[in-house]
Amino acid sequence: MERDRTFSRRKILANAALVGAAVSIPGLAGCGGSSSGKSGPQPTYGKVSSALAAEAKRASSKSLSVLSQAQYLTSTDKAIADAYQAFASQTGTKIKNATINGDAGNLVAKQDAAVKAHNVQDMAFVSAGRFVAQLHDLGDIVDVSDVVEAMTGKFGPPTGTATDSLKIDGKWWGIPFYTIGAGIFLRKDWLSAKGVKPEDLKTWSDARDAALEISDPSKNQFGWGVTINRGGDANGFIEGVINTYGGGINADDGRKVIFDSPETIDAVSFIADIFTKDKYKKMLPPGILSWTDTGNNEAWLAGTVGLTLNQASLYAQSKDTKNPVYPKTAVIPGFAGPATKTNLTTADLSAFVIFKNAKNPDLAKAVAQYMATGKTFLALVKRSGAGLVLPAWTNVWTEDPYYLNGDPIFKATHATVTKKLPLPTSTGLHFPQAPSSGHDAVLQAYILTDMMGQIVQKNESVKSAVKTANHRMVQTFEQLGIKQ
Amino acid sequence: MTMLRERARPQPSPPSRRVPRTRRLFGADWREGYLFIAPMVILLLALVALPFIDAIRLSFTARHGGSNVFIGWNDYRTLWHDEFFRTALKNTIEFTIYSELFKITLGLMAALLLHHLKRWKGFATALVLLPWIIPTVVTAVSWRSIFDPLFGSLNYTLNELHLGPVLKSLHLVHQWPAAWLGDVHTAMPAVIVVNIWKGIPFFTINFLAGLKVLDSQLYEAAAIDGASAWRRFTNVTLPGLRYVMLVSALLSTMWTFNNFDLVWLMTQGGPGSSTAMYTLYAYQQAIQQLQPGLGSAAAIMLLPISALLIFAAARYLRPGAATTPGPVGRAIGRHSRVFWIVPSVLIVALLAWIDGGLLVKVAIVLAVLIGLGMLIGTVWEMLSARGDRKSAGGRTARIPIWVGMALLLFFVLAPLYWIVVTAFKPDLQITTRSSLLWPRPWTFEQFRNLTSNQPFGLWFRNTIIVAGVSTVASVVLAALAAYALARLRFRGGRTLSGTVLLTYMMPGALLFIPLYAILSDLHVIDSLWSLIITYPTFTLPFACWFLMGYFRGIPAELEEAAMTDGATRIQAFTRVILPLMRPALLAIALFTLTNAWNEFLLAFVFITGDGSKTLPLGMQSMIVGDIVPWGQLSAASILISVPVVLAYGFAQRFLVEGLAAGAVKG
Repeated sequence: MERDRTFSRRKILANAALVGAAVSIPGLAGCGGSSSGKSGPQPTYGKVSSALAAEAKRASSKSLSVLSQAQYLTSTDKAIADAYQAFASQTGTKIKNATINGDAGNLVAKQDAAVKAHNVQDMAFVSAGRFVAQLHDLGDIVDVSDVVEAMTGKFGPPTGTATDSLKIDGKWWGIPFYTIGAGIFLRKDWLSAKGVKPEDLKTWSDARDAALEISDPSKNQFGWGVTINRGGDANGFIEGVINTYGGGINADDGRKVIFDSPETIDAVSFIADIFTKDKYKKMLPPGILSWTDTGNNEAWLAGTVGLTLNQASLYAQSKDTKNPVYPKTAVIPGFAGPATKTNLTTADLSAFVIFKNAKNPDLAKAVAQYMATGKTFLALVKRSGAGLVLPAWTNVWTEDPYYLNGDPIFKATHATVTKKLPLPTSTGLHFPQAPSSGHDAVLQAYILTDMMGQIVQKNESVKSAVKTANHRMVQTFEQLGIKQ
Repeated sequence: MTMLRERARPQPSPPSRRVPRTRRLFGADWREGYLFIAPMVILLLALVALPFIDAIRLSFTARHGGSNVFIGWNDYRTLWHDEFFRTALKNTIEFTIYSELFKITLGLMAALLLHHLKRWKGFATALVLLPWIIPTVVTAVSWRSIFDPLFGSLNYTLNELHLGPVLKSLHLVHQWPAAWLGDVHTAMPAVIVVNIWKGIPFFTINFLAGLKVLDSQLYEAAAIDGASAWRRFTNVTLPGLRYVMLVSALLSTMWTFNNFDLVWLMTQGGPGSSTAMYTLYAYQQAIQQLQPGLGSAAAIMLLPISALLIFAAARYLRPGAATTPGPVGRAIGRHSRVFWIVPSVLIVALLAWIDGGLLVKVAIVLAVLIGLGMLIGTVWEMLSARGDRKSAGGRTARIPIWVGMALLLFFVLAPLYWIVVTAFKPDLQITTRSSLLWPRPWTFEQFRNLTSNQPFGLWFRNTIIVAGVSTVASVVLAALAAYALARLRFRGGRTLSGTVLLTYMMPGALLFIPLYAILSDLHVIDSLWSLIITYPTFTLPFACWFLMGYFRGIPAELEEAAMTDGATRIQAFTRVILPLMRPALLAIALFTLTNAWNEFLLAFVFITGDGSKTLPLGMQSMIVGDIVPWGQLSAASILISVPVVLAYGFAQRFLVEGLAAGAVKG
């Protein structure tokens, strides 16, 4: 009997597996790809201009392969994919789009190998600050000065850090696509309860003191929400503070490591104090040292931290999910330090790059121009999360009132990207500095966060940790063939 | 049996006047032998040996701008002086040794508990296997969420049970609330716990198979002689499982030593560099910093450690190792205490040097676990004896077994509970972290969003294709090669059978660097083919070794009789031997399927386009920058796991039978 029962149970399980697979797999295979998007009528994309249509017609092939940087919200991915298809359907071309995750850390290595194997996509849009210099150094992308100069004639110069990130040796290596909003996010309700206005916070020490003031661990209310653990946010924070104190990883030319300086030591001491002094303990949420880039987002959305530094992803997500924290959020561009009169914050932008050995560069150029301006771009901004996609060309910002009034973060980002660059420090550095593969590699290697880890968790002295970090930086630059 | 082994030994035939020259040179069965092993050998040469040679070449280069330049031994010199490489090496040693120690202990306890279950044994075994089946990406993100100091279920539960301060007073955690992955003191233990959680099933299933083939008469004789449960365990069970324990430990050690994905997905090596393993170091150098030379050198520097493990594995895994020890084995047998004590003392000294505090904590926890196991065994024995006297059928005697099972299942299933409840929570509840352990309200929102926002069906289909094709390829190639190595006589066969596991010496972290270029040149990169042809390389050696053991258990007379009746060697293989191999083939198919189903690293490196993403990669790609869609990831975890869990529920007994009949006997 036992045997029979066992057998039948197995049989049922086996049948269930088969039936489950038979029913679910085809059903599942049919789904996906259709984004939830947003309810209601979607803004429509622009008509392809006759000039671009003619360029598409002249292109050697009718098909194009594009890599698109994955967006924080799937609605943005969908909006971009739809825009490609709008171009394709109007011009009789075929665009194959795939998303790539810039944060995976392997984008440049993969694309380099693909270029060398003559098996590469035609075009990609990537973070200009993070990838363009590296791709250029490896010889993986081609000069697109003709497109940028033509667009500058129509839409004015590109905004923000475009020139610093994309123009190397007098040539343009990327076509500016969009600006990504970023800044310091503050809980205006907590600040206001203590009589502090967000705009009154000018320096990093103001920020630290305000964070301490608004902290109340008994209510799960922690003022400080910026980690020093491995991740892009921590890199940005540590480097940002060091720069406003007058220090830097490298000189303005991007080639000489100058990290070990009194200014850097002061800045690192300032950060270390926050994480080691008993006085500030109550403003640190438990586990802050374990946060990767997701940690501050989660704490922010859970309503437990009062100040954090981030790209607009966090803000867009809070708006998209109707999180109660959204209406309580204030955005300011950044904080100054002892060596600066203002904050050194700049906004990153995404740019189209065309790969060497691409099969259809002409069509790629036409698509890039269609995406970055006009009605198509406005539709992209409207369909994307708040602050994730904003103009990258001076005149586009004023083409439609929505670009400045669509959300409070739009104006804050506009203020950041229209600042006169470069921004000087009293120590003679200028930001943004020249693109540097050595600098990028230092950040990728998390030398800054490892340095903070040594100080905060292994009790190494600031001086010694800075010295070790400087040594690693020199080593990293030299490994790349940049002699020190 | 000895006669059969002698017969099976693949040696060239003695010279004879009637034997053709080729047979004298290459062995009696050289045609079939080489034909059968050729596919596996070609695949391993092309996708393991060639990239390995290329990695050695790369390790003498550095990338300067767009070109790679020869720099001699500089990469090795750099590593020698690199403090972070040394840290990564220390971390890897700690991670591997502690993980293996607990996996063996808990795997053995789990197997003993399951072995003594009378009812629901299959079901309970399937539950214990769950962590092994679940993709690493799911494991990592779920545990990260569980360990979250403020919002995670672990601190919440420990707080509710008032256990947090107890842990602190015992100095098992540095502070309370514990920061787990955020504290340099607890991050390493935390990732080790997750590795243990995921690795226990491999040992459990092997030990379960080992227990199945232990002679029950030995237990009866020991019981009649008045041996206690503990004596029976130390004098019968442990010696009986020695071979399977060693084999499982060696294989698992190699895999743990070369682990990349779990730690990378959980901590990326942080905080600071407290959980950075050497594979992460190699990946960071080669891929993130575009210095493939330094990355390759880092992996090659550690080859001696892998080589030592492989050497030991090859010794123990060679045909007949379990029953006929070689000279080293005999020496070990004579001086077994010395051979165990000296390395053990050295390992303990090494661990004490790396982190003495952690060593003490590990020793305490291990002692508590073993004590608990002994307590369960003793109570069970007492209750059994009382049950016998009262003839009460022994139901009461099983209580300790069930208590032990409950504790084990709690450890195994608690993280899965977290995944399930998260999958049914609304987004706002997840982000605001309200009602941590129960969805309010229950909703299918995550499943709807998953299937409408992500090409989940496409990932599912890709995974089925990749896992299906690579599993079939692995099983077919391994069966052919294993048959040839176990049965046919041809030159080189014996060497190959002893060295097939050498391929595991080349860690994925070393191979993916040159493999990427090779696959790019073949124009299969970023396609399912790149995965289909590479996945068998890491399952084939294990599958081949496993099946060799099984083939040796089948009497050679069966096929000889078929061949006497006029069947060709291939007919005898396909019509006589293969049908007998069904349980083993199914077992190995399940094993390779699970590996291919969960594989992350190669997919992560080789695949870019959405159209070719597999489930683990697709799920990882749902995490964009700093936004983690916990709910959708949990929903995806459930959908991914259901078919595999059902398959295991149905087929896990074949896995145990296959292991019991073949490999674990040696």
